[in-house]
Amino acid sequence: MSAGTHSPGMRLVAEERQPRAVSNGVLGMCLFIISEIMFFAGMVSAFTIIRASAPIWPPPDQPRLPIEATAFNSAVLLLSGALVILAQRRFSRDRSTARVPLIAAIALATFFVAFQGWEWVSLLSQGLTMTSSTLGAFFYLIVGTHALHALAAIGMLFSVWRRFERGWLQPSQLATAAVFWYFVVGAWPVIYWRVYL
Amino acid sequence: MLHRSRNLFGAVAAFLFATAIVYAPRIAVACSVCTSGREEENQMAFLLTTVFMSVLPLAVIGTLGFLLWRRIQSIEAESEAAPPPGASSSPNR
Repeated sequence: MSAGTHSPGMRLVAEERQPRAVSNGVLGMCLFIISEIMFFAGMVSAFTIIRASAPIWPPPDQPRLPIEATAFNSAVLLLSGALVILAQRRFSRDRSTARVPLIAAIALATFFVAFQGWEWVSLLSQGLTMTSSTLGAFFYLIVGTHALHALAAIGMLFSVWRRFERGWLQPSQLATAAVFWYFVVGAWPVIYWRVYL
Repeated sequence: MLHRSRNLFGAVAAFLFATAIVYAPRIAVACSVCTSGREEENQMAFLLTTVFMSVLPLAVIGTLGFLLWRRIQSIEAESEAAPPPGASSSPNR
């Protein structure tokens, strides 16, 4: 039965579905990321003002932050972000080739968070705590908030990997998790620059 | 008539406000946040972070909007370039 045989009251139109610019997941994640960017910007701004107000910075009785070790860890994080980009591109061409970069990205991301945790244990043992100084308070606040976001993003990537292994993964799902990871990776150099250097 | 007098009132009010801003900048010095720091470094930190926090949301939302607009443009260009559905490539059908 073609559309022309229907009565005038029932008009069947072959709707031409236009592809969306972005998926709902990616758009929603972008809107969430905007609010998180403002959240981090507020904390970094407050830290900047406190730092400028201090007569001596960094506080002389506090341990120095591990700049070199964190620089290595930052490179690991950036590599993880690059691997997620690679996984996305491979997934769009040949899904099976996306497995290795996806797993590698998750592994490096986990290493980053674990290394951060090890740094924290070391700093806590040296006397840098949330109440020892404003440096300690802001350090754990800003870096800790970033670590929470990183953990959530790792959880999303892990969930993506599980769906991938079962053959259920949609490109939009991978894109949504990837966008969140790009935010986590992109925010870290700013935090490293303002807090560690 | 009423519409004209409202426009005139708004124009006069805007002129007076602009004049006050130009000839009374000391009003801005009343901001305790901007001027509480006695040192130049502290004042500069306040000023820069205020500018940063003001510009950042505009930049982020503007960038997102621009990227979405570009993506929509490319999709529309692709759909215009694609052959219409049901078009037959065979001449004898």
